[in-house]
Amino acid sequence: MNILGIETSCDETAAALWQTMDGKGRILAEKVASQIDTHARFGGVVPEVASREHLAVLPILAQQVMQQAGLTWSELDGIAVTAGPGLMGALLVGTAWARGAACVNNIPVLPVHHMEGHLLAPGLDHELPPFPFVTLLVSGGHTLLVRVDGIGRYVQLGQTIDDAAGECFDKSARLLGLPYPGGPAIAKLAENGDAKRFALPRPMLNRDNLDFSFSGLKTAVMYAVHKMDDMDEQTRTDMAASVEAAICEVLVSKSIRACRQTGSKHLLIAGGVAANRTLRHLLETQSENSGISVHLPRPEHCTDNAAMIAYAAAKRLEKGLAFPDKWDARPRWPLEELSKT
Amino acid sequence: MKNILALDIAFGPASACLLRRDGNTFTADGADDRPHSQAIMPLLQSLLDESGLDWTDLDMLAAGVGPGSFTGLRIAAATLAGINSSLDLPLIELSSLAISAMQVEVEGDAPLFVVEDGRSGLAYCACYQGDRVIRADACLIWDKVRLLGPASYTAHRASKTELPGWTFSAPVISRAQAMAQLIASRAETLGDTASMPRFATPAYLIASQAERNVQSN
Repeated sequence: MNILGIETSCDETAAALWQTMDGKGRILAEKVASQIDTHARFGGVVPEVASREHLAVLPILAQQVMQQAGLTWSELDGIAVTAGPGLMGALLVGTAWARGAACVNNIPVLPVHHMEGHLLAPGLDHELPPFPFVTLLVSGGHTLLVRVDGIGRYVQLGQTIDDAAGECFDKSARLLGLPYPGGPAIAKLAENGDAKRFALPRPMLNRDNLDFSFSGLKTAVMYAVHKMDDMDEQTRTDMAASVEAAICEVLVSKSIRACRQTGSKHLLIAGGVAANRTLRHLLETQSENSGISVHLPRPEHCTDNAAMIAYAAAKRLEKGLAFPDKWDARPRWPLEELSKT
Repeated sequence: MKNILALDIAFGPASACLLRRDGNTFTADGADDRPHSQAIMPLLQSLLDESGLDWTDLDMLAAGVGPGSFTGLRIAAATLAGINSSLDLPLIELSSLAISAMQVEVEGDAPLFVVEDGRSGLAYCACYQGDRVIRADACLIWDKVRLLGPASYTAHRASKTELPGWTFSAPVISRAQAMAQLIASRAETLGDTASMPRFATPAYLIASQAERNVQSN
């Protein structure tokens, strides 16, 4: 089975070819064109600019992936495309392209939930652990904990009640005069910083639930920065380390609590922030103490990619799960709806 | 003549036409008030079914590339790019304002302005004489458009109160029919098809609001 995956939900245009043969799957080809440089001058993703760039890039990227995979269009069994959630204009580029390509080649279009792609992304690089397991999905737009009971069976355990963790990185970075995206910029600056110099809050850590909140942390960073008339380089470095530590500690503590509460021995991490080295290190050390196995995708599969979309579609097909006949791009699409199909 | 499939979604509902090698033309205008990504492929498929052609019988594609609704232009361009992923056909890019001009019957082949609301105090404006360009497609502030008249004009969405003293001419044929006529006249003068584009590039004529904000700061 050969599935072409297409991803255009935000600021990465991606295409990938996933092949399943004799029960084993592999990526035949994948390409991601990031728009980070394009959006950097705006300090965040501009939907109209993103949509224009997706259209300019996607047709070429898809051709390149097909050539790299060495497949003809008639060898495809389906085109999996991110149908939501995401930026409406951006989603429409991918879904319209997929509908056209699928119709001409007489193959089905497989609309995939972007989050399901991320939740299952660790399976691209390693065998998925036995169900149920807990996944922390943490990116610029999302921070949530999900119990995965099976393919297509997801229970949301907690989520951010305000800003996403990645958003907190972006906003803190801006306060420190760092470029967009903030996560990698803060992580780089934080390498030589003292994470204990600034006592930043660990929001909602004392609450018994599995929800997150990062807007208060961002405000605390803002007050701390504004209190200082002039920040020298070491102070900026220490502040970056302190912000990174505060965000990562909350994410790790809540994730381990989620595993304990659900009795899961496996924790998967997905989303762009999962590429953060401090987070990965903290997770590996703290989970080991708790007897929990951590499963991390390769960094390139943490951020938005099309291999995870093709993979999620392939897994759903393997399980005999249905794809809707009538569907449209959905900027908002609750993950729980997948469990009802 | 060639088998040519065309799509335009610049101003509201999708319009599509198919020109067959034998000279027959098939047209379809979407009933939806807004471009609807679910409706477009069935619309195109219905044209193929009606004409008795298969996708692989097509020789060429054509697209209304704007100016017009950004989302509509992108849906049309992305749909055709998907279709062309495996067909690899040459593509004719049509001005969506030129299609609008072809919808109107003008006495004595007089020049006709096409003026459409571009939002934020801007208008898309062009002047055509049949399929001949008298004034190229441009995005102008309304005051500049008014200075070009009074004249005869047509529009789908522009408010008539924006152009006092101008004479409005309503479309008399469907957008799909007008597109077919425009393609027929263009197809006769096409040169080397190998050098034609494979994908449509929307003519937005205007930067996004965020880009304009950055430029003005």
